[in-house]
Amino acid sequence: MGLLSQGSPLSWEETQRHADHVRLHGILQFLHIYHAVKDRHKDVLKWGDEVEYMLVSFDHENRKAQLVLSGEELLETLQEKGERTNPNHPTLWRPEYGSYMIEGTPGQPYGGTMSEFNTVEDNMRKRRKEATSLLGENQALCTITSFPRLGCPGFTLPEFKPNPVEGGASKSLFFPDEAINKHPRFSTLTRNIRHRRGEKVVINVPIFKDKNTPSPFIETFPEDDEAAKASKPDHIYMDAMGFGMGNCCLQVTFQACSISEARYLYDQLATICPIVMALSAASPFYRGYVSDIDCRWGVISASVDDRTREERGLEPLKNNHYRISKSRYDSIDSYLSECGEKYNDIDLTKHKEIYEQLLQEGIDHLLAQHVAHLFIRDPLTLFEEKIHLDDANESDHFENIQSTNWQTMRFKPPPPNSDIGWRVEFRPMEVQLTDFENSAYVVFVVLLTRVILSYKLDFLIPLSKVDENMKVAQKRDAVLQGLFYFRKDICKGGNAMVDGRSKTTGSIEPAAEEYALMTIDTIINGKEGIFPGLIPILNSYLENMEVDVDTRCSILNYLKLIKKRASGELMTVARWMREFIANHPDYKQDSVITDEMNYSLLLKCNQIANELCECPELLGPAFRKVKYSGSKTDSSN
Amino acid sequence: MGTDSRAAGALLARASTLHLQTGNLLNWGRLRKKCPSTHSEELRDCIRKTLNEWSSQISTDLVREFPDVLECTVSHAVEKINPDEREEMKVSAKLFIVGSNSSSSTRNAVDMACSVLGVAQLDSVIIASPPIEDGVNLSLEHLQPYWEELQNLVHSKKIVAIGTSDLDKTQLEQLYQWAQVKPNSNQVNLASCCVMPPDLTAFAKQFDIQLLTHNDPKELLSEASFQEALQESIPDIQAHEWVPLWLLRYSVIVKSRGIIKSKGYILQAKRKGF
Repeated sequence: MGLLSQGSPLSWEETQRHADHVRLHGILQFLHIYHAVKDRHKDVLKWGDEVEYMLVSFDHENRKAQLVLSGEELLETLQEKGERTNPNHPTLWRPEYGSYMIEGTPGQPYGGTMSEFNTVEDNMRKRRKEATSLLGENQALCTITSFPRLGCPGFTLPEFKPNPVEGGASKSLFFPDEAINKHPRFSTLTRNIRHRRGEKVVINVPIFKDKNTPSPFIETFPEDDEAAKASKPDHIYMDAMGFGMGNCCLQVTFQACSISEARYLYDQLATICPIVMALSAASPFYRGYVSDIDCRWGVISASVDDRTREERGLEPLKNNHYRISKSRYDSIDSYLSECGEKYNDIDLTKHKEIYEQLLQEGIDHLLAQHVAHLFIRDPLTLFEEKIHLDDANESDHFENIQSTNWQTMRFKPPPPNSDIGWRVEFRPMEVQLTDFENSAYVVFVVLLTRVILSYKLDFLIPLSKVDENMKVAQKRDAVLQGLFYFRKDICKGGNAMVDGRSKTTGSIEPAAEEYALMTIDTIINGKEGIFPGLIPILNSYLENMEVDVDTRCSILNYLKLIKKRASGELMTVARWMREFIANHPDYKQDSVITDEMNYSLLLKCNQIANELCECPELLGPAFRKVKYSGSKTDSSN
Repeated sequence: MGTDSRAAGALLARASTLHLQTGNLLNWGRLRKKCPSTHSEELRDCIRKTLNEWSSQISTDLVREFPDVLECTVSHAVEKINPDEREEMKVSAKLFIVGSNSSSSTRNAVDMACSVLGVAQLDSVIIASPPIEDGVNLSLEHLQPYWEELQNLVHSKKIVAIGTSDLDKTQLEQLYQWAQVKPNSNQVNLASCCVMPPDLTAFAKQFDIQLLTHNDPKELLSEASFQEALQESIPDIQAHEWVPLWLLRYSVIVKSRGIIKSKGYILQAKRKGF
């Protein structure tokens, strides 16, 4: 979650005083990087995934699952035994927002050859095994996107009561500050977002109305004015950054061969974000309730929304500079490549002086407006020791703003003085239960980039349509029910002549819209006469590559999973979890998830993740030859 | 199309050899709307479109010349490899012998591929199992004439590495023991990549033969389907007189980036009796 500096964090008031300083020097740092490496080219493909994990403890006697607040110590041990002992260690571990979370990545990036696709799952298994081996009795490392009873009484181990007072970080009625990572960056970020906003963050997720769910569903918070005002009927109300940033996700970053390839891929993949997010849907439950959404995106977006009332358009602008239409955590607001320019139909708020400055420095309009848009935001954390920097050799101020713009895609300039190239990060995916699934999604996305580049595909549609897709993608069962705007003719690189000639004469199509509403099944698997389908195109690509049999078998299984999730033959994690709860003997069809239900669900998730039981409706028929066991949790409860 | 195909028909009536090359299919824009088809469909489609494209651009000069060898191409899709980028590319080919055994086929095909792509050497050539009579098992003798030619091409540095397709363990072992230049890869059908016979896997591992995958049908191009495609594009010719001898599919991959730079087919056909 961005860079971690040690030191003394400044309060919001102090940080705000330095905001212009950070922006000024952030831009100078960006310019240094840009001018130094704008002509870098012929970089090879390198890529890596990031998986976030939750530490879960199972109390088999009382049938209760809790989040273990020991991420910091676990991380320290993992780093000590791993990267600090051996620079070639196969895994890397990083802190995450929750004190119950850690993030794992491969020790070295994967390379550009096909056989690398066959090492991803193995590396993820290594990670799971490595961290699991350090856990206590009855504890497990879970890759679940949102903990169903996050924010419910006693959801952590040790248990803490939330302390909703001004002096704390979250001031939450539900999420105790002790559940936030102990590194000062995280609590400062939490407090400063709240202070900048001028009130607690507000998250309202529509509740799933089951047979016995009260209608209207209303929660009352007599002891808290803010909550009483902010909570909406028929919604699950949440009031802390932890409800969003305390979720896990799955990301993939890859190096492009040049800045222009990075910009092209950034744009192309931006259109894929909602599609893959819906396919990866894994977070139907919040604060102990069944919700009506399947994806976490909007929750995180609201959980770090630091905009003031003025910026949100609720009050006339007086102290702030802009109306800002989105949270810092949201979908991208502009395409970066030249072919994307005509589809930039979202009103883009930019920092005008910075935009002008970038233009004067020779940066083109599209990149300049992108950076100037990121830089409308204030820095959220600042460390006293890290205010005055060497702009030619450091990039902390640039990264400060860049890494707290949490968008669906991230365009990443190389760090100063490094041999890393221009990179793009794909950020919308929800984390899956198993290493197999997580590998499948990651490999799918990276293969897709290869196909986009090989066939010079063009997925671009107006960005406002991508935003509409993002909204649809989060809804319950969007993967099967949702209709998404998608480009009809995705082949721009080709020469129209050859095809044009073979067409029967007289059938000149009217100049229709370039895009149409499609189901995810059509987009992924294709439909005769409508759309070729991403997987058929991937297969055609694979047939032209030299792929060894083992790798091909893995890829075959990965694509089968994606294909079947898209067609509905297999369930998404979200759908599977819903059915698990719906069929739980304790469930009263009232949208409530009890401790007992939470326990059995997570236990089952952990068994599936460790291949102690099969789950054909989620993963397909068992195809694993080797049984893998990496859990300390006793499955016979 | 009428006049076009008449000129083409006249040329084909007098020529003895037809060289057909698609150029870089990635420049064709053929993914449009249609789902990517099987290799056989794709190939027939390519043959038809190449013939159509070629016949639409026949110059009057060419018609006067009546060349013996017809070079039939999609001119705007032809793309040579930039010599400065040659090092970054891996140029691979798979050779399908279609017609009756002619020992020069292999050399012709490799020479043509090199010239089409503007390279001195192919990095890898895989030979598809040559057609044999129904009911007969492929044996070493069937492969030997082609393999000898491929070995020569390796010796003369036209090819770096040579491989086979669809050989079982016994066939691969026989070839390996006999061959001077050992196969460095053997392709297996995609359908079996998750259920590999253990003896083949073990043998390949022991002798460092890469097991790769393909998704080609048993017969990628038959004489009949070639003639059909020919007839369809150029109606007024005696298509049955034309027999395809070999077909080569090439691909140019940017090695460290997993990107297909170029892909195409080259085919040679002869008129019977010449």
